[in-house]
Amino acid sequence: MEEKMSIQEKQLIISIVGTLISYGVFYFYAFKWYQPDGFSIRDDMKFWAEGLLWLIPIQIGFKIVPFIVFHIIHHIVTKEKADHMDDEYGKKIESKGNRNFYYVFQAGFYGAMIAILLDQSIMVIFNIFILFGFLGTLFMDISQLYFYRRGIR
Amino acid sequence: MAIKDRIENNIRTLRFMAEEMTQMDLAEKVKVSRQTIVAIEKSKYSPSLELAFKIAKVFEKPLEEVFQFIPGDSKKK
Repeated sequence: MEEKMSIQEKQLIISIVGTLISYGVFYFYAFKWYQPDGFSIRDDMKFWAEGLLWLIPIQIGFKIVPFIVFHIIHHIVTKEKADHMDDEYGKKIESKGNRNFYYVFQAGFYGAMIAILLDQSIMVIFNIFILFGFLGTLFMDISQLYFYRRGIR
Repeated sequence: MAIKDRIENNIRTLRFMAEEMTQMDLAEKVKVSRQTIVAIEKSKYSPSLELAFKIAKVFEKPLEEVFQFIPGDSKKK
């Protein structure tokens, strides 16, 4: 029998969808506004640094707000309390997810270093960081979802 | 293929015998999420010693009546 999806799993699905939307919005506007003609290296760096900072409110809008709304709706519909979500099982799964994020992000970090050595543009270097941050976040959530389904022994 | 050591438990039976205590009730008593109780019951998660003792205390049973260690066939060299 297929087991019901737990609140933690639903939360992770919201996080995955939020990540996809927020990075989608980020890239849509970043490349729409990116006009490298006449940009100095400093202008280029400022543009992508500003873009990275914009990712914070974008993620609040597309991840944290839906997350709060979900908890309110879930509580109204199921009357189930979301207590003790950060218990030992949750923490272990979270730490495994974080570990996976760092593996992916570390690969991106070294990728960016290689890009510097290969004289790639600032745009390429920043985008390696952003892309691997995105992939790392996605991998973190998907791996947590996997551990909630499969369990950890 | 080597079979790993595992920990099994009688929580489902003990809950049934304790006036059909729900997973949520047990979770609240030992201060964990319901999902954690589900995972322990299905042997998908081996709890910490502290949590195992807390669960045993709820059912007023010694630890070994709630959890059993099943050794695998892994050989020490």
